[in-house]
Amino acid sequence: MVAIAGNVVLAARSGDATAFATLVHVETPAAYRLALSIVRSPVEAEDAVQEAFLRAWRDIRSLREAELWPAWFRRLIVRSALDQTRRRPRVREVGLELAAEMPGLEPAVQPADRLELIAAFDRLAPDDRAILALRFFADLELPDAAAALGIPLGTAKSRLHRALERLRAQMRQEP
Amino acid sequence: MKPEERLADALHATLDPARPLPDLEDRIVERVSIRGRRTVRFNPRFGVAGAAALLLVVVLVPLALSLRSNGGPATGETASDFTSMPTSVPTTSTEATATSAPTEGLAQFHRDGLAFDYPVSWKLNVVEVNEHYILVLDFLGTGLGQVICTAVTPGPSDHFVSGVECPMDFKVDPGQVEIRLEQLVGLADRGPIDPKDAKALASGDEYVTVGGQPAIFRADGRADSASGLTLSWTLWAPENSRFGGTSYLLTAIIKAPGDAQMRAQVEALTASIQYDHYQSPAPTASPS
Repeated sequence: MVAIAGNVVLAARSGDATAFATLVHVETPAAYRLALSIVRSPVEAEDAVQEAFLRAWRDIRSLREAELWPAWFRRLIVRSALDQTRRRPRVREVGLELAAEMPGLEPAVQPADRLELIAAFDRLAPDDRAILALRFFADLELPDAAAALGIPLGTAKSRLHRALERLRAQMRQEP
Repeated sequence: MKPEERLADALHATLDPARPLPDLEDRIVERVSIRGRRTVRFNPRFGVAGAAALLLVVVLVPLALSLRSNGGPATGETASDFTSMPTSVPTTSTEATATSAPTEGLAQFHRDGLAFDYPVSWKLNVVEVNEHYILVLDFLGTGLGQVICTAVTPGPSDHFVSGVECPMDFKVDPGQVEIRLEQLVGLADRGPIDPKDAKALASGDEYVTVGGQPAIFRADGRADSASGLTLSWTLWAPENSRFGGTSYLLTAIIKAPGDAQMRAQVEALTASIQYDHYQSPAPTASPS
């Protein structure tokens, strides 16, 4: 997460659209990647980011302190991404959409075991992807990952454990 | 390399280069400005201590134009703070006259230091939301505009989200107009509006006069677009409460068809705005 000046958040909270646009500019790239880690579709990731910012603009007055913005907004991103997966459940060819649209993911430039791992990750349920992405992509400590998911720490621990088990199981299966 | 490390490596390798389409930020900003939740800007005169935002929201939602012919007062306007007074007397506003506002009956709103007339066929929903994490919520009447607050129950590790979330989205169908009135305090308070201060205006803003006081007007979008035409007035009422002046934000969204008539009604409403002038209660003789 990029550090956001507290006065920008305060100004956005007071209704300053220009300040909020600054937040959009600063946060969008990382927000997009986090959403993409959960929804696994560039289109849905963009939708999730848009939805998260609209929710943020709508509800930013409920943000008590400016320094809580990163965690608060991260939670909106995760919630919006998970909403996307629930709103439009569909079966997709694992990895193909990402591979076609994301630089760096072309099979030719990725080691085979990395592709297998990502393919296994893609086959997980969104909730599993979310906890794994928050922990191992966003590099959050588990309490912060739990907060982003809106679940108790104990639940996050068990969910992370089960997600890793399922990831290993996926990797043992043929795609 | 441990499996967790391999996963982190794989996720970073595949996601770090990912970029959204270049226009995503613009689309988001556009959608936010279309929604126009608030257009006021940070007033540095107020410190963090003033951030306790007491937000009073009143949502006025009219019936669809097709229901207009039903006439009659909107239901639910039974609170003592409101008087529904069907009348054929048009507003005395020159602005309303100039825009050929319809002459259907008018109801009167008078509350929180503010008074204005609105078409009697419109529905009035009264919502009071105390954003200082204490919720007081009232609905009077029915309509499409409403604030639905949901309690946010924090988990044991959830130390940053609590209280209540109150989405205040407009819900405007084609052929409808919706007005939201907010009272702004704390950081949102605009304070006295100085029409000589050009720097206080954002692009697209203009100074107007409402209720005999300077105000800021802004129009965004088009009535025939999906998001509709958004009109907003930032108002300042001096000395209308025992606490001093009050900032208001009145936002209207209009969607075609029938937008010309609805805009005339909205402009007639704003032209009829009057601010209360607070007077200290006369001392009463206490029994000796």
